[in-house]
Amino acid sequence: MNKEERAENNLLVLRAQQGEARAMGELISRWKNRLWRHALRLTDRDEDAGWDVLQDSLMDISATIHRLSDAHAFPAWAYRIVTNKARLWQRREYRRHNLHKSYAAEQIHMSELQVSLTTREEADPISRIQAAIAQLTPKDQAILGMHYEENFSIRQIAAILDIPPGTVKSRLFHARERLKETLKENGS
Amino acid sequence: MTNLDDSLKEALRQNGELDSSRDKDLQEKVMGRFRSKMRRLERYALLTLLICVGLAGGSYSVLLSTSNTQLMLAYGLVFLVMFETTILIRLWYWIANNKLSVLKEIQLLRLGASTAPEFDADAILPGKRERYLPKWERRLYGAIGAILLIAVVVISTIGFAVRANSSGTWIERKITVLEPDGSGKEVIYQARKLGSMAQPATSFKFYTGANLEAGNIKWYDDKNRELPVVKNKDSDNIRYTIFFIDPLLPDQWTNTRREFKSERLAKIENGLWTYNTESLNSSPASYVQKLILPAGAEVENVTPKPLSIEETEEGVTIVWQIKLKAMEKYESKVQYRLLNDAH
Repeated sequence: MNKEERAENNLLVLRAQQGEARAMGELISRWKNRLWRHALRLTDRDEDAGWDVLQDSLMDISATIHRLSDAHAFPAWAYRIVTNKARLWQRREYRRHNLHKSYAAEQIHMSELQVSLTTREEADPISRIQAAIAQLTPKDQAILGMHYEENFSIRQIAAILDIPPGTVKSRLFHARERLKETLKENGS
Repeated sequence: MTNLDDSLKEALRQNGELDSSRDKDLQEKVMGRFRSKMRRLERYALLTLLICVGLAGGSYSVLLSTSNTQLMLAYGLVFLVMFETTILIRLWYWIANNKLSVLKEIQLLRLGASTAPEFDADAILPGKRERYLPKWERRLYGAIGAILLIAVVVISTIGFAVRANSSGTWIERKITVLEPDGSGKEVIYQARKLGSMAQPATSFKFYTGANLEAGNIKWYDDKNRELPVVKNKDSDNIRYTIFFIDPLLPDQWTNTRREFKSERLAKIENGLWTYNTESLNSSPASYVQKLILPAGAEVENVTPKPLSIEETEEGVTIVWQIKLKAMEKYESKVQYRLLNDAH
């Protein structure tokens, strides 16, 4: 986000906090796709789960935006809500003992990706990177997304994920390393 | 930034768009939730304000109508807390709203709203203030608030008036001793509560007719201390202001004694002595009058009908017992003859 976008965003948050529905609508329009991608990464690309997480998160955001004390903090705050909702989903999944299912689904997903890669041997570098990202763990995908897509600082990511900044740095480093390895393995 | 970083950034940005069929539904749901939340917040704010006003008003009316000191303190405290809370809620709302408005202005300045050509003013610039509660609901709360305020004013006015006049039933015992020459002494014991306005009473008033031979009249408290008196005379009345030595707290009973000596308590006409007395109290009274006539007196006429007439060692004793209403005039009259009367 550049300076102007940030100022516009802050203005929309402030207007929504004063109860303007139009501003809230505009804010949702601007953020839903980014939050959707974050939810999707955290739910291991399960579209239905990602959809549930996004829906719950946006409901929470719209209901509690008046409690946000600093409009600048909106992006990190919204990401944190999505992260927490995704965590709840993950816990529910574990409780249901569906680990084996998700593992099986992951295997199918991986093989689909392999097929997609082989069929797109001449695909552009962006598609190859996307395919490589999809092979990373949800945690790695989320941290890369927050750092590269949203330009969140280490501290902001630490606050969103509720982990120390040092852990963020090491996770980011390892995620990049694993991405490089995957790209190498995929022959990029 | 390396080449990989740039590609990664781009790849992440293109990595998944929300399905448009779901998108529309989502926007509507979220906006519905936002509106219902705002409606609830408005409702809570108005209800809290109404409850605070109601409690403040209720406690204020109780404060004015009770005579119990502890209740007064408790309700006074409740009134103060609720009154302050009402002001604080409004103040908080005003401050929070102003803070947001100032922050919005700052953001607009940052944006350079008036100059930027690419600026999407319609989406960004603040619109008019939105109301989420339906008109009828806002009117209902307004009406309840107005009814509450009117009720508080009416109840507290009535309570105040009732309390100011609710000094309870007085107990009055009057003993009159008449001498054969018509002189005499009256002693009136009075137990009563003064209807004051939630503050200690320091004095009370007593009136006699201006043409009455008042003689020597004195007041004493329950410790037998003579109470200071200030006397004012006008064309119709003599007003005595009697000061308590110890101030009388609200709702506290006081016991006073009034002594009155006169050379002409009874008057003679054609050998017939007439004694009459009258009184008027501002509160209901349980009244007992005892009249002791000189020894050997022969009673000719007594009004109203006494409780008893007895011949005792002191003389002829007549006793009346009567319940008087507030501002009810009481008159008694006795006519008697004395054997061996020198007059």
